[in-house]
Amino acid sequence: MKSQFAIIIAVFLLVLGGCGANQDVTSLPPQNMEFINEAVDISTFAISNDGDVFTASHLRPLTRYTYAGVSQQEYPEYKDLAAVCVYNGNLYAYKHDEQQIVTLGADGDTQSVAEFHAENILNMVGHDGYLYVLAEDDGLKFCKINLKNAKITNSDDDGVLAIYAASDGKLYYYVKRGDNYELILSNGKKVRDMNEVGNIFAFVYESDSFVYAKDDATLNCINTKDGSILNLGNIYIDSGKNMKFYAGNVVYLGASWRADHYDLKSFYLPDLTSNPTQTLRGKITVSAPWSNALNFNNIKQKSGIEVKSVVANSDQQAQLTKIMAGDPTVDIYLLSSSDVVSIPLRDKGIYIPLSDSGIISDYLNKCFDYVADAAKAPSGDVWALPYSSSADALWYRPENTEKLGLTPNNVLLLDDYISTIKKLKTQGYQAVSEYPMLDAFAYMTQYEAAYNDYMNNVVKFETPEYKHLFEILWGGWNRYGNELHPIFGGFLAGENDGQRLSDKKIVYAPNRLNASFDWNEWRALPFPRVSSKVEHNVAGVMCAMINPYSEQKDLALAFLEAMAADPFGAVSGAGNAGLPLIFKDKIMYEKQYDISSPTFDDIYNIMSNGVIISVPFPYGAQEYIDDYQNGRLTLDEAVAVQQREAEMWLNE
Amino acid sequence: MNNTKFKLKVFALCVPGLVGFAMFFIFPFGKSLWYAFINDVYHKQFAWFDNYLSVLGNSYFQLALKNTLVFSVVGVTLLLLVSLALSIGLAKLGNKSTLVKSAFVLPMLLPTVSVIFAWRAIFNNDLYFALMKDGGAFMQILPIYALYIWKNAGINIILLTAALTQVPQAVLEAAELDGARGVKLYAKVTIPLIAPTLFFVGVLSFVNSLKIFKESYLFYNTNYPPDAAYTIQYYMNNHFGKLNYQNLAVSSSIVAILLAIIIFIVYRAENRFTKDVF
Repeated sequence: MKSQFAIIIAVFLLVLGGCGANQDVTSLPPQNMEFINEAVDISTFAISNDGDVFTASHLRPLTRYTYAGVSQQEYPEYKDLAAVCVYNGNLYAYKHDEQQIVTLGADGDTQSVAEFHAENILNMVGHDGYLYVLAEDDGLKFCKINLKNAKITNSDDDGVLAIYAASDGKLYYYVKRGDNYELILSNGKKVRDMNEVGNIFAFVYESDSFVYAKDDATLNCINTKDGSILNLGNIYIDSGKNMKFYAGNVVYLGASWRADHYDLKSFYLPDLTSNPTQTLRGKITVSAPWSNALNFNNIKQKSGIEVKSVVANSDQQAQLTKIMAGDPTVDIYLLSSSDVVSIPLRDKGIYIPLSDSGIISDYLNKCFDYVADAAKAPSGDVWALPYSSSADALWYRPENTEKLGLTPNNVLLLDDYISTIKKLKTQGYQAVSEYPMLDAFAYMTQYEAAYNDYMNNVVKFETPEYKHLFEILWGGWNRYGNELHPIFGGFLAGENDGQRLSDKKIVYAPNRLNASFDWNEWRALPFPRVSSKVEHNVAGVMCAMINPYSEQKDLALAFLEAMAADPFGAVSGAGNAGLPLIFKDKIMYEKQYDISSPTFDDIYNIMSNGVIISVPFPYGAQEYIDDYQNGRLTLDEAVAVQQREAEMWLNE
Repeated sequence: MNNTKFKLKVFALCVPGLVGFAMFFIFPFGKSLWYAFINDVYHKQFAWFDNYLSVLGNSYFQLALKNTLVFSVVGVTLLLLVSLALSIGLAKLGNKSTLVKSAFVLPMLLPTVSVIFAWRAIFNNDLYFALMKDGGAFMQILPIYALYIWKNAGINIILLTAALTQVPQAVLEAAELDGARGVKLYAKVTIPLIAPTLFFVGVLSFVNSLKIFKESYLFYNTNYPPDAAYTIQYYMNNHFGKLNYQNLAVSSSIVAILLAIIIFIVYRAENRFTKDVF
């Protein structure tokens, strides 16, 4: 009996051991999980088998969050970590101050694994009983550490730039051999030449998708089957340890809408291979198809043109200062047509006119009038080439509107929309806005487009219409508090796309690029209008302009003409390329999208009736909103402050 | 020959300072003046005095300049009165006042952000908001006056107390024998004797009154504070934000000229006032 019991225990332990050995393999089937975290100064992170996220920075101790961003536990003894990784259910970390690799046990205790000297850790992964560490220490150093006896073995391969342990159990190296770049397996077998990718510092390789981070802070993906490359956005490049893969999701530190902060971001890898005609992004990022496929490195390699994007969420005044100071290494700037960067450049004539180009003139003739107008300076010159546009929209589920006796007319005006929201609530349905604060600014901009005359420095905020709007948008809540907006609701932490877009959400005011809408289930309407005086939908246009200080202006012009001559030519076929809705003729889109779809018509109609508003000033802290929300200013007083500040800015 | 050598030595010793002064002041100021006369930094077309006419005719520039002058005149006067009163009291304490004097200097040593944090804690409340609404311009700018005096009184007190303790006792006793007492003694004897220090403290206070912008900006937390607090630095800062270098250059050159004139007048007044004293 005792021996049987011992066998059972032994088997049980073996099973447990076996489970432990496999813990590093993703425990969840692939599913779209949106990783969220608070915007703190994260320097590195790891994801556990349960989807928990461990984040570390130089200032804050290691902290464990749920994937939805809820803080679970802090580990005060884990500070100044240069790298973390999860392997076999254990968390391994490099303590830079102690020059030690340590492990965190299940009960929170710390054990030293090995003494390890390095200035910085670029990649650290667990594989086959070893920790593989790519480090910087007077040059690159690549070695593996036996987790049983702590023996450190230096690798003979000195060309390794990045390493990745895939979910299928393979260990990949990204190496440079002479002038060539290769993806190889840990046994030395070559997987693929990667010369079109070039130098990288981190990658994820799953299901033929090679997602990689370049030193220009771009995140890209190459389909290793057809070689197409897709630009996915920006990544934090302080070091090369900021990309992980979990349950089908690539998780990385991306640039945040808050300047100087980096948010944990993710995308679901299967989305990259989905048909773009079936998927729309939450906010209609209506862009020329090549806009998101612009791979700056490829452009540089193929044409010698240096393209720089003026990022909207960073310090724009600093960027404008740099542009005006003159940087001859940049040939083309990509920027919004109507913000604090572009307006001074445009209005002061700091651009290279494109008016003499017949190709660009033809291109502009094909664009919606307001898009073409955005390309023109007050002097009449064409100052830039518009290449994408965007607008907010309301998404609704037609079957629900019919069921509830609602029509699109119920949501055309903001007041009607609010009545609709209230009615929906009584029937168990929701109208949701994830970021009411951003929506509020969208409504304010809409008002400005209709009521203010910025060309003549005239602003009219002290009107009954604006006060009514101000009260709706800002009354009864605290914009920096935790409560949801009393009318529009708000973002609920932890909801994924599926929950956010459930059939209980009859209308949806999106502000997030990550929300996906199925064309077969959702239709789009213009954002509710603040009054009947508003006749157009507020849109934004992105433009490409030649840097007036560029040393190869002719080549830059030739490049813009090439873009204008073949606007669809650079389509990579990626899912988040958005919709190219800057052209008047629907036929132009037929190869890209299903133009017979009613949803396509919806979006086309929204974009064709767009308007660009040039708000030339940043509003700053807008403390009058806070003072109104906390009761220190009355509605009239708060609006008066806004009126005064706008007048001063325009006229001082 | 020896004299020439000496002069060369003096010049050689001055060179590092002069180079720094030229690099970090003369050259940037010259470039700034050039900006004031061109249409923009890209086309660089000579614009004569168009930029000056535009700025001088702007009502917000006029408001900012007026507010700056009012703040400087009122602030410096108040600061000098407070400093002088406290210094007279401290001078009477003699050596016992060292600790107290050090305490007065502390506000100068504190980081601005910490000071503003405390200041906002004091003033950013419903009571002050109510007072500000009813009290108009005076209540709106009161915290900045209070901050300016609190922060700068310390250094003034140190300088004035030192000057007061240097006044010869024999002169004061002689004046008392001649019948000078109380205010008359200070007005007719002590103040003229410390006049050079008083003028220096006045100039220092004036310069510091122009440097209170950082605190004001952080306190109001906006580019557009109440009208009474909208000074020339706000005007310049806002144009810097718009990268309107022409307005920025014009306004800074006007302020520099005004500053030079005011300081020149102050020193002329000092010379005249102290001519008969010493």
